[in-house]
Amino acid sequence: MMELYDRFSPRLYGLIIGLLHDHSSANDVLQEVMVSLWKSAAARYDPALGSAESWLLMLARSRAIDHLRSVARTKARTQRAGEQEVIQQLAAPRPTEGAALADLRRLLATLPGELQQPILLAYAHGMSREEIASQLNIPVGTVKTRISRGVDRLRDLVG
Amino acid sequence: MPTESEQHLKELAELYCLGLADDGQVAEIESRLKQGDPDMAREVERLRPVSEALLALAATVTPPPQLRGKIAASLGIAQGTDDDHAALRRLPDSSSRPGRLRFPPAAWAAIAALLLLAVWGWWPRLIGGGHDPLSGYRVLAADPGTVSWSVGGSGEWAGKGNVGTFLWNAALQRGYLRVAGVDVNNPGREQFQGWLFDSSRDKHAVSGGVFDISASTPRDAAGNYIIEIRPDLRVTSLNTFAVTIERPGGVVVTDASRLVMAAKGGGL
Repeated sequence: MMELYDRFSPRLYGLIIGLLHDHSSANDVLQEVMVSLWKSAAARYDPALGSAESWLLMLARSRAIDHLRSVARTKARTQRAGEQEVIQQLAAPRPTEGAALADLRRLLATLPGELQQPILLAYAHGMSREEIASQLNIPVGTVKTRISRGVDRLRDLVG
Repeated sequence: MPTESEQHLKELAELYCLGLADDGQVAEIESRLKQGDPDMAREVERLRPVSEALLALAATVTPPPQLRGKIAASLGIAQGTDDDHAALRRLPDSSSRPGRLRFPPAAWAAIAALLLLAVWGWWPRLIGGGHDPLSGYRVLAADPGTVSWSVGGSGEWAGKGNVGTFLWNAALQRGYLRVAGVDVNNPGREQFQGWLFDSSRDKHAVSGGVFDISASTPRDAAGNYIIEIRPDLRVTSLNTFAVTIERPGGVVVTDASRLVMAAKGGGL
């Protein structure tokens, strides 16, 4: 198990800290991921699900988003900042943000603006489609459509 | 215009790709993928480049050094030592998907002579039967002399991918097959038979016994079938393990025409 930790923890931790921006929470989530693997999650893995590393990253991402939602940090943060301010923050690179988010912005920059925001809010901030709809003041159906179109465009870019 | 079902599938795959699917949705997607649902597989595969590209953006950050010890302690593992959960060590990476195994014809041809020797009792079984396979599996898994190999569908089951793990302990001359997502057999018509290839025997194969995979086969807490493998002859340098489907009671000579699973030291 600790071999698994040694092999994958830097990528897992990088992904988790990129979402949570808090080392204490990231420690808790990484520990939760490893315990989950130990108990049962490893048995769920199947090559049909993709590479083991990608599957582990997805698992870690899911746990990190669960954590984000459970403490309602996203909601509290966006409510505090105000929706336009948050959107502006998300739309422009910040000097303190990590390289990963900057890379994501560069990737998303190739998409029309209306398709960028939902994906950025979803992927980089773990927002649900309902939260994005509330944040952008658009119907949930529109969020779904934009995410779908955005993902399709990304697929064309990287596929 | 996509149907409601197609739209649902597409949305599920998108959520999965973006890592936004909840536990229930992930369970549904992974279950359908493991069952070989072609529509789900096609959609997830279509979006996999996006998922991989997004995941590739994750930075590499070394966790605090003390976290390793904390996690090890929470799992009951001593730092600096390995654990008894050998299957986890074998979680394959993207380059280790099992492939189709091809055995040398000479290996199969040698099975007859070796199994005849087994029938004559050259190497009587070292340990009597009747014990709990799950307990035996746990004991073997905890033994530091046990090795663990990934088991892949092969031959008839080549499309199943990785199906589990094979544990082998040379000192104890015993192994366990731990598999999931495999087909059950009808014992009245056919049975599974394990085969062990010993490189020190010039590619000779040794029967690991006949077994069934059915509702009465012992399973661990995760639902994996646990099957004990005991060679009829001493195996000193195991390099390959395989399972074939044979007639009830097994065979002395197999033509390997119904190969279903295989594992190999170092991967297939």
